[in-house]
Amino acid sequence: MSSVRRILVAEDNHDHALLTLDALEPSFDGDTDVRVARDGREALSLMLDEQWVPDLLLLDIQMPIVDGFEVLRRVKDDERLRSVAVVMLTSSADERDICRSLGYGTERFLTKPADATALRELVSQILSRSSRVEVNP
Amino acid sequence: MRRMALVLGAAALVAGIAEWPLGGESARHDANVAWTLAAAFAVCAAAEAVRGSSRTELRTWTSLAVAAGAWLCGQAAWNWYTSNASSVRVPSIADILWLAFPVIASIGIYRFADVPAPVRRVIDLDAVALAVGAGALTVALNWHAFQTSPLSISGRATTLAYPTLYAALVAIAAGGIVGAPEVLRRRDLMLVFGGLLCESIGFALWCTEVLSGTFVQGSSRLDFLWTLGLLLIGAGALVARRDPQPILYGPDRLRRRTALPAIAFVVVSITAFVLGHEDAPFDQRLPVLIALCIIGGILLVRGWFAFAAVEELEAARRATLARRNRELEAFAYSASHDLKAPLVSISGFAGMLERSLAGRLGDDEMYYLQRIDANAQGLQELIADLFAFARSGDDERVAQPVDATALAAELVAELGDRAAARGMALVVDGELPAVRAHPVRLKQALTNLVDNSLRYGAGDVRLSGRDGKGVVEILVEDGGTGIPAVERDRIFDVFARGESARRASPEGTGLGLALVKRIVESSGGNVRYEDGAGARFVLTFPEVAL
Repeated sequence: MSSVRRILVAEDNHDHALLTLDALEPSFDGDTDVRVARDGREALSLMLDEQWVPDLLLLDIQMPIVDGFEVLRRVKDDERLRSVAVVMLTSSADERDICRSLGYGTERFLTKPADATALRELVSQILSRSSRVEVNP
Repeated sequence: MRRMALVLGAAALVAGIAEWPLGGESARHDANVAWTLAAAFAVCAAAEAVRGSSRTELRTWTSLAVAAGAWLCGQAAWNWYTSNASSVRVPSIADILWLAFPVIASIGIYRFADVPAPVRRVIDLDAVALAVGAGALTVALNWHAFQTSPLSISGRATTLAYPTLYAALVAIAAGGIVGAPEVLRRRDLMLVFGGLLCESIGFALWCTEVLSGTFVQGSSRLDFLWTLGLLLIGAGALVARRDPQPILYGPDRLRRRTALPAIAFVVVSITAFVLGHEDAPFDQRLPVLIALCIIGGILLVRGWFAFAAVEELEAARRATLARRNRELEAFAYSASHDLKAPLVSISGFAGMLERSLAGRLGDDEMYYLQRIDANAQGLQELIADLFAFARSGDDERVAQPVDATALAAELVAELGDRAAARGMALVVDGELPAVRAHPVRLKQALTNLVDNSLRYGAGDVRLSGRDGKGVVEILVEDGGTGIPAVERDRIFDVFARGESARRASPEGTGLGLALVKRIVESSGGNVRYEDGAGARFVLTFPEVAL
C-alpha cells in the first residue's frame, strides 16, 4: 500500500500547461501523479467517470466545451469531489471572475503568469494539508 | 418619360393661360381642364423622378399621382356635363372623383411619416382627432344654415361633404407633416400641402355661398383659389427630388410634439367662439361646444398614448444599449484573454530559458532574455489597464457606500512591503471619509495613485481625508518633487506621460491617471492635482450619509 498525491491540471493551452508543470516539477516526488486535461469535459470525465479523484485541481477558466466555472460548480456539487482543493489559474484577472469562483468555493485565484516559486509554495502548502489518498497497489 | 410628362404639363399650362382671357363659362372650364392636366403631368413627372428612392417617398408620390389622375377625371366628367346637360348622374361622378383627390393626396403625404410602430399609433390618433375635430366643427358651424337651406337633401349632403372632407383630409395631411418633421423641410411636399389647403378653403367658402344662396353657377370667384391650389400642387411636383435621408424620429421630438395638439385646440376654441357670436341662440352654439368637447377628449386620450409610445421607444432603446454593452463586454473579455494568453507563454518560456541556461549564457544573452520577459510583462500590464479603463465607465449603477478607511488599510497591507523595499512608507492619516463608489474600482483608483507615488515620488506616501462643503475628499500625497507645472495639464489624458515620468519609469502605460479620473467621475466625483510638499492628488466625492 502506498500513498499517492494526485494533481489534475485542467488547461487547454498547451504552452500554459507546460509552464505550470515546469513550475511544479521541483516539488514532485515519485508519489506524485499528475494528469493534464485539455478541456473541462475531459477533466470532468476523468474525475466523475474514471473516479480519478485528485488532491489538487489547477483549473483554467476559459476552456473550450466546458469552462472552468462549470467544472468548479460540478466539483463542489459532487459529494466525493467536494473536498478537492481547487486553484483557479487565469490570464484575465477580472474581479467578477474572482468573485464568482470564490463564491463557488475555490481555494485560491492566481493570475497567469503565476510566479513559479509562489505557485510551488501554494501547492505544497495545500497538499501538506490534504490527507493522502490511500490506494491499493 | 419624365421629360415627356413635363413637356405635356407645360403645354397644358400654356393652353390654359391662353384660353382664360377668351372669357365665358366654357373658356374658363377649358382653362381649368388644361391646368388640371398641367398639375397632373407635373405630379406624374415627380412620381417618375423619385423612382428608386425610399419606399415612403415612392408611396407618397405615387398616391399624389393617382390623386391628380382622379382630379383630372372629375374635371373631365364635369366638362362633359356642362357641354351635354343630358346626364344627371355626371355631376355625382365628378363629385366623387374630386372628393377622391384630397383623400388619396392627403393619405400620400400622411404616409410619408414612416415612423416606428408606437409613434405611428400616436400619429394615427392625431389624424383621427384632427379629422373628427375639423369635421365636427364644420358641421357645427354650418348646422343652422343647413337646417334652413332651401337646397334638397342630396344637395345639402354634397355641399357639406366637400368642406368637411377637405378640412378633415387637410388635417390628416397636417398630421402626417407634424408626424414627420422632415416633411417641414421639404419644399415639394409643403407646396402640395399648400395646394390642398387652397382647395379646402375654396370648398369651405363655396359651401357657405351655396347655403346662403349667393352662389352663381359658372362665375364662382372661388375658381381662382382652386386653380391656385392646383398650380401649387404642380409646382410642388416640379421641385420634387429624391431624398435618401432616413426619417429619424426620437422620443424627445415626440415629447415636444405633444404640445402641438393642445395649442391647436386652444386656437380652434377661440376661433369657434369668435365665430359663434355670444348673441347667437343656444341651439346654434351647442353643436360648436359639442365639437370642442370631442376634440378635447380625443386630445386627452392622445396625450396618454403619446407618452406610452415614448416609454415604449425608450425601453427599446435601453434594451438595445444593454445588449450592445453585454456584447462589448463579452468581446472585451475574450479579447483580453486571447491577447494575454500568448504573452503568458512568452514570458513563461523566457523565464524558463533564463533559469535553465543560468550560468551558461553570457551577460548579453541573459539581458536579451530579460528584455523579452520585461516587454511581455509590460504588454500584459497595458492590456489589463486598457480593459480596466474600457470597463470603468458603467459604475453608477453599482455605486455603494464605501468605508475608505478600511480600503486604505487593505492598501497598506498589500503595498506596504513594496513601499518599504523602496525605503518609503505608506501611512494612513486618521479616518478617511465614507464615499459612494464602486468598491473594487475605488480601490483600483487609490492603488494607481499610491503606485504612482511609489514609482515616481519619494518620502512617505500619505492617505488622508478632508471635509469640504457638501463634499468629502480623499488625499493621496507623497514627499517627492511633484509633477512639473508644464506637464500638469495633460496628466489625466489617456496615454499622456510626462517627460519626467518617462525618465523615472519607462514601463508605465500612461493609463493609470486616466483610469483614476474615469473611476472617480463615474461615481459622481472628480480628481485634481494640488501642489503640496510633493505630488498631491485630491479625490472629491459628494457627501454621503451612511
